[in-house]
Amino acid sequence: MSSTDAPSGHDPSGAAPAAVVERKSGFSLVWIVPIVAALIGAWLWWDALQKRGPEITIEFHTAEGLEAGKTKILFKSVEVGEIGSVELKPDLSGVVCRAEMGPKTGPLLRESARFWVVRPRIGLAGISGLGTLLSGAYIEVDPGREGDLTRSFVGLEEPPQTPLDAPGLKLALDADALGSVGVGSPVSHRGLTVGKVEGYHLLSDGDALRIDIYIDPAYAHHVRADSRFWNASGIDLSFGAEGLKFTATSLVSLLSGGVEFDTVGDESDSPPGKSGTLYRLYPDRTASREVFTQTREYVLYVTGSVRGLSKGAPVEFKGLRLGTVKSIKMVQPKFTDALTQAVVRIAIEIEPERIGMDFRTDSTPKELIGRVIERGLRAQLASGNLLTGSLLVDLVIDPDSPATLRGQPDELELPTIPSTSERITQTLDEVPALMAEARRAVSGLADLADSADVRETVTSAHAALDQASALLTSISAQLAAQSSLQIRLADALDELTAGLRSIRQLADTLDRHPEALLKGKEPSDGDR
Amino acid sequence: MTTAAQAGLVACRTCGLVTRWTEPAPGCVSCCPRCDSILRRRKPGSLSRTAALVLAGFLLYIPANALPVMQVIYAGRGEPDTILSGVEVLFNTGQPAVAVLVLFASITVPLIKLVGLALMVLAVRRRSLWRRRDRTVFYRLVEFIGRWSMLDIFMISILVALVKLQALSTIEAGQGAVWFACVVVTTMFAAGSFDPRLIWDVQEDRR
Repeated sequence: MSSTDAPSGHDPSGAAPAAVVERKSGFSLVWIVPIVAALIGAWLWWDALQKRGPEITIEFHTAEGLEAGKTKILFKSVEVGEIGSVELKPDLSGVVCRAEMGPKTGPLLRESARFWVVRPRIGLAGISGLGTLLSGAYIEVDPGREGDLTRSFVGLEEPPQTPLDAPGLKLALDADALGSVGVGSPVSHRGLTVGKVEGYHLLSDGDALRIDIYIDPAYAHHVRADSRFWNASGIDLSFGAEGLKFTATSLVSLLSGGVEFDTVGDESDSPPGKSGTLYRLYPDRTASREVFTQTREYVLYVTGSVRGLSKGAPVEFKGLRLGTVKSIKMVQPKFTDALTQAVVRIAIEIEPERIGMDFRTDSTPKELIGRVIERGLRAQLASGNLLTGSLLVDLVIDPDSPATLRGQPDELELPTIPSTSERITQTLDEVPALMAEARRAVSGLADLADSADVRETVTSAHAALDQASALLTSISAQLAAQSSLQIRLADALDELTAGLRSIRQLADTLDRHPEALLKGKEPSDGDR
Repeated sequence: MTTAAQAGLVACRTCGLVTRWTEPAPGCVSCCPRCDSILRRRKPGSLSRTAALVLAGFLLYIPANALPVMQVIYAGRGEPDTILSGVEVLFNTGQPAVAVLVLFASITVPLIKLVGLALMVLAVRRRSLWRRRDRTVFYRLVEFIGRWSMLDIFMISILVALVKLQALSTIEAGQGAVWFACVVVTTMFAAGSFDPRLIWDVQEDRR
């Protein structure tokens, strides 16, 4: 290469220009491979992070069927989490399951969320969880919608009957006793199962029981504000003052118990029931019907025996039921006096609606009771059923009996008169005296019979009777003779008749032939 | 010891013919006079290619082991298994020999390959003279056993195809299998792109 040919030959020495040494770019296309790998790794990691939800703890009594890393947490059969580990609680009272929840489950993990283990269960209400026989147990969750967000939960031991967001009616019933109602028992309306019992618990004061029930949305409109619920469990056999009462329900209810409801009157008249409403659970259908809005409590004090009178016994007036006995207890001023001066206080409830009366239009209760007592209203215990000996309270009008009041002045007290049986008892008390008198009279008679006079009298009476007997015999004979006498009398009468005929002939002859008296009878004429 | 490069000779990688090396003009390539394949004194960009592929292999090795490779669904119930948990299951179900085999083929071998190649690349860059003969032997070994890592993938493919008993039992391949296959492929390419002759180039440079 000559320097003259060089296009840029400014170098005075004429030497060729030095090549510019550029460092070759260190980047080779092959480095795309690790970059792609890194991107894939980053994406997988990010994806895993996205799929990873909150970690929660659930407490259970037992870890039966739960396996760490295997047991799923499902909501509506969709997997929303998985049990990561199962550990015993520090105090050994249960197990704590750590679970990894899926993405987007965070907002559902509120305090009201419920977790329970789905295992195969066989109950009267049916068989559930059969699928878990093969697949193993899983945890079902009912996400909460209320309460604060939380990460620790206490699992339910029994699966809840209905999800929190079920569209039907959730009602609460207050009951005195559970009866045979159990979780899952049917709730029926006119014999049709329309819901079920979800659970029950004692109220904190221990006085009543709260039963939670669920009504299917299809039947929810049958529940009205005036609906009455009653315990339709099994067989009801009662033997009270009203006699024997037997009620049986459907076979399922017989086995598993149940609740039934109906609306008094027209359904459309009553506003529809709302979720969360509290109703009262009556022990039976009859009780649910006999609910009266107006009741007034009165008290009676009786000194006699109340054997056979029970709580719930009827109060009647002229045979019509007017109320119910609410309580029976003994009042005792002092214990030592209890035996001698014991008085039984009977509280009764008058339900005027039973006979179509209305208290509201009347004057104050005190005035009212004063007036009716003045007119002779008294209460007495009467026998309701001779077979069972049960008693009822009978209201009677008896103005002549004294109105003795024994209670407090502020009580609405009805005076009592002794019951019929009490009066019988009083009468019976006098029987021994009567018996003694009767016995004395009888023994006097015996003495008399034993005396000599009586014996003599009897002997002479015997003789007199003998004579009388003879007399009677002769009379009897006489009476027999008299019969022949009569025959003879008849003969005599016949002869007399014949005689009289002859006399008439004589008279006729004399009439025609008076000379015959002198000359005698002319044979020719007279014979013709 | 004189190397072929010092002697101005080059061997054809395809047919093995030794020829005298002529530096090709820019834009040209030297070709084997016998088989017409391209002659190169050293593999071009060998170190950077190997390093890149090894790095990619390392990166892919993580999801390959963390994600499930297979899911055995038996009677509707299935648990995804990663390679390690599969080994554990095999071991616990009384097949320790198979477990060891799977552990060796699926975990140890790829790891040894990746670590070994990375060390070789590092050693060449640092112009190390340490155990060059052993390193060459090790390289041959790595290249040979590399394909055996695919054992796991083959096993999964065969099982997935065979076990299709509908509801009773099914085997499904997991995402990890894909990444594991990628690891095996990248390591094989990494081993292939590494030029063991570089190990011996150091000597002549130092002399």
